[in-house]
Formats: sequence, C-alpha cells, structure tokens
Amino acid sequence: VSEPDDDGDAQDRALLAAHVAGDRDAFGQLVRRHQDRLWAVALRTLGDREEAADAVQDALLSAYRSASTYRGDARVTTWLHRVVVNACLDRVRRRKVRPTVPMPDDGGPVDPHDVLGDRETALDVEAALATLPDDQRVALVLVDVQGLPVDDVASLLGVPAGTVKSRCSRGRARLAVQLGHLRNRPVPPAVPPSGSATTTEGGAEA
Amino acid sequence: VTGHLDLDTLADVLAGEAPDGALEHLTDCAECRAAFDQLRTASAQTAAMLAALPAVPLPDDVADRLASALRSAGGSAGGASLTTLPVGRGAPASSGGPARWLGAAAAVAVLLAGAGYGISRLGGGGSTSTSSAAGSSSDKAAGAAAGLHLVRNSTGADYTSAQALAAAVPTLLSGKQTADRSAATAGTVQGGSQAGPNTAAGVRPQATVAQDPLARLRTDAGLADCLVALLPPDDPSVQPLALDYAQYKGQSALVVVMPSSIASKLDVFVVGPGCSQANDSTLFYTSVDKP
Repeated sequence: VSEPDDDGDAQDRALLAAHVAGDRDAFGQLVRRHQDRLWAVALRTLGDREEAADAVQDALLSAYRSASTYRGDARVTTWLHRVVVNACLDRVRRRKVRPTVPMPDDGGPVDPHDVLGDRETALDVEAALATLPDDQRVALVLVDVQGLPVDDVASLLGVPAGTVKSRCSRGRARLAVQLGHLRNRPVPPAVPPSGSATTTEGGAEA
Repeated sequence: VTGHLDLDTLADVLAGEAPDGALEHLTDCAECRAAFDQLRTASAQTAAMLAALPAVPLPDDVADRLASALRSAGGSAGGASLTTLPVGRGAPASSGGPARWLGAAAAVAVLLAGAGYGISRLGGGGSTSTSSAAGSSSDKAAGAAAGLHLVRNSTGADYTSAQALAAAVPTLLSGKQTADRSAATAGTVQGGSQAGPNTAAGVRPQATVAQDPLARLRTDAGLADCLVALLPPDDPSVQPLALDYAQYKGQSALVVVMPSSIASKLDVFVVGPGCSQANDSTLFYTSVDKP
C-alpha cells in the first residue's frame, strides 16, 4: 500500500486550506483521495461493516467541521487516519467486545494472481486479524496493511514508536501461530510491552 | 530470567524492544534462539501477507451515505460551505452553498397544522419569505393545504448506531410508541410528554420547556428552521415522514426520517438541538431500508 508522497501531501494541504477558505469542492476532493484507505482501516479495525460505515461517517463529518483546527504538524493523511481511528477506537471501547467475524463481503473481486494466491487465504488472514487484541490489530492494520510509517502511527495513536513496534511484532507473532506459520509457543494474555522479560516454563516446541 | 521466553517477549526482542534480561537469555538458550529464528521468519511472512491483503474500496452505498451526511453538513456555517456532494460514486452534483440552503428555504414552508401531522412543503410557488420558514399565516395555510402526514414521536430513546435507528424506523413511521420516555430522560418536558407518544403536532411544551434542550425544535418555527436545512434543495417533492425527539449517544437529538432518492430506502438524519439553516448540527446520518 503506497502512501501519498510529499507532492501528495502538498496537494492534500492545499485542498484542506481551500476547504477552510470556503472552496465548496475541496473537501470532497480530499476525501475522495483517501476514502478507500480510510474505509479499509475502519472495516479491518472494527470487523463490522455497519459499524465501520458509522465510524467513517462520524469521523469525516468531524474532520469537515474541524478542518480549521488542523495545525499542519502531521501529514493530512495522518490527520484523517487519526480521526477515523479515534472514531473506531471509541466504538471498540463502547462495545467492549472484539469482533469475531471478519468482513469483507464487499472487497470486490480478487486478482487470482495476487500475492496471497486466493481469496480464501485473504479471508483466513482477515479472520485471524480480527481475533487479535485491539491495540495489536489497530497497529498492524495501520503499519502492515495500510503501510503507514511507524512514526506516523505512533503520532496518530499517541504512543511511543517503540510501543507501536512492539504491538506490531506481537500481533504478527500471534497471527503467525494462528496461520500455522509458527508452531505453538504459549501465547500469554496481551499485556503492554515493557518491563522485564516474560518467560514460560518449557514452552518452546521449536 | 528463568524458563524460556514467551512469544510476546520474543516478539518484543524482534521489534528491538527487548525487555531486561531477554537478550542475555537468548544468548544462553539454544531453544529460545531457535524459536526466535523461527519467529523472525514467520513474522516476515505474516507481514507480507498483511501487506498483500486486497484493497477494500468504499462500497457505493456507504459512499452515498457519506455523501448525504456531508451534504447536510454543507449547510453549516462552520468551515467551508460545502455544496457539491463531496464523496461517493455517482453522487449528483449540486450547486449552492449557503445560497443553496437559502434557496431551499425559499421553497419551503414548514408548519404544524394540526394533530398528528402538518409539515408541509411549498413547491415552486412557495413564497420567497420563508427563510424563517414557519412564517406567515399564508404560508401556514398553503402548508395546511398540502396536508402531508408527519408522525411526531417523542420516545427519548438513546440511539447509538445505524442499526438501532434502522430498527426503530418502522415504529417511528407508525407512531405506535408504547412509552414516551422524554420526560423521564429530560425530566422537564411537560407538554410533549403528556401529549403521549405520538405527540400531536401543535402541542407545545409548557413553561418548563426552557430546560428541554429540544424545546426549540418542538416549536413550529424552530422545527421549520431545522428541517429546511435537511430537505434536498433539488427535489421539492421530498417531505419529512417522521420525527423522534430522542437522544443520540446520550445527547438530546431529533431524528428525522425522510424519503431517499433511492426508492427502496429512507434517509434518517439525527440532528442536535441547535439544528437550523445556519447551524450544522447533524450528528449522524444513515440510509435504511424502507419498511
């Protein structure tokens, strides 16, 4: 997944500025540039189509109204992702239940020659992703799926970059076990990274 | 460190975030080193699979929802005056901005003409003096002539999702609410609550209404000023179908059910107490299947 380059961000900033200045088309253009990626983040974070639709709508209405508060210290795409992710996390917190059924029934046709090989494999990955702890799932969606830089994600989530790296790495490890790429080594309950090493007695089968 | 490193710890080491003692343990423990090497390979493979997940384009129906929500936000005085439908595929362009809404206001008169119904909308022959909508007696007369049914509910229900709204729409359209919780919720609305669930139009909140956040929207003028911001300016035939004085995520809100441009659908707007032509207060929008 490619990110808008500097030129892309410059265009985003120009559109946002135009929106704030009263350009009637600017915000729509800005949203069109990012809507698919924002949708993917919401859908994969929440695992529920309707909730994702609600979250994206809430988020973009909020962004529309608060555009004048954009300070320019982050890329516009990061700012938009932050708004959407926050809307998603609000919903995750409210329901207190992680999604157990992955979605995309609207992912459209999948190229049979893509890297994953077939849609079934992709659904396996989506299903496994949906079972991860929320913080790990969000980090992986943003970093690995969407391709956002770790520093941007750290800024977006308001945590240190090391925390994002840890969440991603732990999430990948759990996914690897679920997908059969890694033989079982006891997976502890999700805990915030830091502190001394956690160990388990005789757990390694590798 | 005693025993072997668990998966999270190995993952932290892989991320360059090794906790105290983990690196030393890896140096000394061949089993954990092997597990770590296996994890490194598997993690790379997993990351590649995640990166290769197919794109998930915004579905057309969600794009349409978003377009409508942003279109309604376009009537806002805040931010830019969004007027073209900004999002979505095949969303019709419209023109206007504030002018668009003034135009809509000029084409709309809203009044509450009698028990159970009474929001009417003047078509092209509408006066040009109705930017304050609930206006003149002649407007009221014209609106009464149109005499379209509008079901007014006052459930006080707290809606939190599109699903909840969709589930409530059939009942809101029928007006068959079994309880009016607005008084219990707000603790202040006398007139509306006493009038029952299908509150008769024209019943005004009484003196205590000043404490009801939705009091303004219970008046003819306030409601008209709000609805004119929601009605599509390019289709004068659209008439609101049902209202519900309720809550959205714990905040007082008015639910407005309107026909959709899609025949099988209904548009549901949720607006805050400040809803007016000049003040965008759309809290939520969704499109639901017509019952």
